[in-house]
Amino acid sequence: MIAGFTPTRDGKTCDVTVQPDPEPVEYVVERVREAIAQADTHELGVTVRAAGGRLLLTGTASSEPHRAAITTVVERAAPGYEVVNELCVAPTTPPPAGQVEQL
Amino acid sequence: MIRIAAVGDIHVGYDDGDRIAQGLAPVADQADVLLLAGDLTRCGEPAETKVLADVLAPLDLPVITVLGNHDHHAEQVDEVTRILTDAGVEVLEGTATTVPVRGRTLGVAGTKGFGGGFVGASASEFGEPVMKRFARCTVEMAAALERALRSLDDAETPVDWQVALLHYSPIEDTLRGEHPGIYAFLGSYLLAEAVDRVGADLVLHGHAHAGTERGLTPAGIKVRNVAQPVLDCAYRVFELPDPESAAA
Repeated sequence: MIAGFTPTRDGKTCDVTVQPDPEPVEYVVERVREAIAQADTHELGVTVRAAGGRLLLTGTASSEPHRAAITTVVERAAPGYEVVNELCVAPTTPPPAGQVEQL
Repeated sequence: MIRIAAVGDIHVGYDDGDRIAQGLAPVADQADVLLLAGDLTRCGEPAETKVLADVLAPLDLPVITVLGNHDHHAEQVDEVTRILTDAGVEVLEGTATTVPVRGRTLGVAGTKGFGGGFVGASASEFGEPVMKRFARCTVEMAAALERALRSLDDAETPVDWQVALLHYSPIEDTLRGEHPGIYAFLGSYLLAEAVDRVGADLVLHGHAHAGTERGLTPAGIKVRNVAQPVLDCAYRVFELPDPESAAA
């Protein structure tokens, strides 16, 4: 817990306010990763990094709606953090004709 | 020669039918067979599987698959397998199949595989029952893969090409890019050992979205990670030469 002293209006006395410790970001990151895996998104390949009150998401999502759904899941799992979703959508266009790897 | 299209980790959800269909539309013009390296669905729901089955059924080429960990999540593997089989897709798990291609034969042996890690950092069947079950699972899957490959090798009509189809990785090379701390959850050297004991022309796997595409087993067999995020396109096409020209 963190104790804070707030002067009252008459300046003579102080209120003592007690605030909970902020949750260590390591636990936030793991909670977010688990939420992305367990929610309807079911994505295990997202890398989550916390810095400066932001959560950075990198990796791939299977589609644009999937990518957007991951943002929603993260916002719910970690309220108060700004979500920076830099997930790429895995391209699903066919390879050009003739693009063949000869083994 | 034979042309093999391959992809894994397409993770089909309820609304993904059109996206997947567009990606696979030209595959029958570009390849003789389509191999899928597991994680076909987002969480293994039969309804997701049906979306994919409706895309695969009309394709004018044989489709062979293994399942991935996502396809197991809903614990409805039998139903997932039935839906795919009804759509004409061959689902391998410790089994093998053959495909005739212009008078020649492709053999494919497949298993999902499992984790456990790699040489110097692998799980052992020791300690708690859950740990023993974890390690034992991969041992059994690798043994089944080896038997499946041998069944192709020992068949009355020998196959012209032999491919091992996996979901989990048999080597570390194709995991580069993933966090090394999770390698043990991404594959096992036992899968490579099984392939190396029998031999194959190619090993395909998925699962490692942040991995790299190319590697070799310890015995020098080519391995390709065909997880779709690694490929940057709907599938990769590989060409294996006729055996006599490969030997020349």
